[in-house]
Amino acid sequence: MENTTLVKENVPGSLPLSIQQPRTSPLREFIKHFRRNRLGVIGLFGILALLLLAVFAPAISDRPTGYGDVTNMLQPPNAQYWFGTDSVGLSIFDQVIWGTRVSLYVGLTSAVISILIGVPIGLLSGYYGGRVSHIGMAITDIFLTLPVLPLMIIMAAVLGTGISNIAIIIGLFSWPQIARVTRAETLAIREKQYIEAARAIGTKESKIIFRHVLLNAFPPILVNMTIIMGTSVLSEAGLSFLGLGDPMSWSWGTILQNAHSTGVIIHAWWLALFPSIAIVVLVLSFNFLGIGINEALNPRLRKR
Amino acid sequence: MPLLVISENEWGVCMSEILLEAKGLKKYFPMKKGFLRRTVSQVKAVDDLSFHVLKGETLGIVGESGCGKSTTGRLLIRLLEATEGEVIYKGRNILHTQKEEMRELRKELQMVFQDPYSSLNPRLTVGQILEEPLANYQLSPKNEWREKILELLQVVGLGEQAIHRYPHEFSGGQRQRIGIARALMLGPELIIADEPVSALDVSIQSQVLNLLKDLQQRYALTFIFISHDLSVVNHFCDRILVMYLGRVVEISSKKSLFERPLHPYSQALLSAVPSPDPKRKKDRIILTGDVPSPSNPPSGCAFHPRCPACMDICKQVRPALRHTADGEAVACHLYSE
Repeated sequence: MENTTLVKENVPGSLPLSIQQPRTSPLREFIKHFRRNRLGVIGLFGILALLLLAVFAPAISDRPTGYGDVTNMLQPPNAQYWFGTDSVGLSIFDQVIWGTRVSLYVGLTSAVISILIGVPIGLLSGYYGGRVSHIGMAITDIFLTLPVLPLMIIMAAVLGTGISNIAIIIGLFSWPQIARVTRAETLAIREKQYIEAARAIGTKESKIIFRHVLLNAFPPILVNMTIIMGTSVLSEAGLSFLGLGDPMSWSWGTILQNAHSTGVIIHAWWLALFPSIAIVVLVLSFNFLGIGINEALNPRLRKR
Repeated sequence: MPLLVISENEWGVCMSEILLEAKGLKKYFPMKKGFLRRTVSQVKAVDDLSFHVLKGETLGIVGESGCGKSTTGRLLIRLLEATEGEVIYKGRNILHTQKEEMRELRKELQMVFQDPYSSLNPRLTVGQILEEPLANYQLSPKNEWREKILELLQVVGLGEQAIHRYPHEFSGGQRQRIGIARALMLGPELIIADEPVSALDVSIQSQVLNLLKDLQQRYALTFIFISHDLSVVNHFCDRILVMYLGRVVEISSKKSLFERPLHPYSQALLSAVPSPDPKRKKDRIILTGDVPSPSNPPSGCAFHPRCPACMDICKQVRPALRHTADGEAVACHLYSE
């Protein structure tokens, strides 16, 4: 032991040129790895397609209002009405296209709201522990145990049934999930030696929380955010189905609600099928995107 | 403790300046129980520890696991706050400095961590990891950082390509080199190495140890080297502090500790070191019993229930650290007048 000479380990400097990496930005790295992820790309394309539909809805179809083609009520899918018509003769295809706008808006808004509330609460209560943690988690638990649906109904009734209100209400009831995931991750990360090492090299607390804790807690948060986007689309559909949606705008839930309230859903299967497919596509796309982002962000899960 | 100590390290360099001194350092962790979270007892992880480190030397801290070695290292640079005591660095007590002042001091007091797998943030590239200390203090303009990082990667024996790679792409030994490079980024005076090689394969251990030794000469570093492995300590340290249950048992130069250990605990530890000489007669001192709980340490000398030379006084009076003529110190009643 005493007189060993310094033998270099197999240093990366001696790696063959072919696997040496050029200098890249983190974003470019992320894109490179995301592109290789099949599910993630499928999810991204799904969402992009829905976004395009939402943006170009006026160009694709007429906004369905009032009474439609009353001579063609409750038509099954045909060449003129691809998804059939409802009980007042409105095209289901048009309704689904216009409903995309509302559903995407609700999904994104409520996910952003739940991130804005849930991440700070989870981070702070996980990182500082003690009293901060008790208070943060008490609030979270209260929100988790609240009977969400009746409260949503009451709030929707009180605040009025605008689409923004719906999105805010759903966001206000979705953040506990984010807070819990963030806290659980933070608790595990807090004990890692790189947090201590960061303190030793003089990194400030705020920077430790963002650069070291949040960066490592980020993937599960992001995945949960995509799940919330999916579930809030479902919640919106549920609220609309209960008649608490915005009567002035079309959402997929409203279509289902109309089908239900007119009592034709048993005979006219197309009324339920097409909006449901749209919901499934949107929710799955968000979930796939979440999986893809997670794997691209986590160096150890990256596909080679 | 004299302020000026004359001693020689193995290169024959004369050193005299005390760089860091701990006085009566204590760390008690409260144990809380029950609904009201009352403190029912305390774990005395570090209990009245006093020692000093000379500029340029390597002080080894050895002891069984759980004896408070790592806690001591963290107390010295305030990664943990001490319950009581003083840490005097360059003549001033750093335990009571303000937050900003302490942040400035961190440039000079660095640490190499035990676990090379959890001490590097897995989501940052090596370049980003090594850049962080520079970004924290802004000592040099940003366009010089890359150069500095490449220089230190070279110094610790990693190639330039490492800068774009993630920690998981490296072996344990290479990761430890990255951790060492990070500790060196700010040009420290004192590095506390907390079992830097215990998580590594034996074949890699000596390489990392030799690297640390090279760095010590190159940058005139002072080391506090925490380890449970006496052969590693023998390879690396000038003076050795033996700890037992949060207390100092013996402080000696490496030579005198290995040739003539004073405290019965040191004797037992050293008799357990395997010898390469098959002819040497083995007279191992086997300690009986377990290490007592630091929440309820034995009265008097903490070692007395396991000590082969236990006397009556050992059960009642805690032995003070006594300095012998050769600059050694031992806390044992066998050596009191």
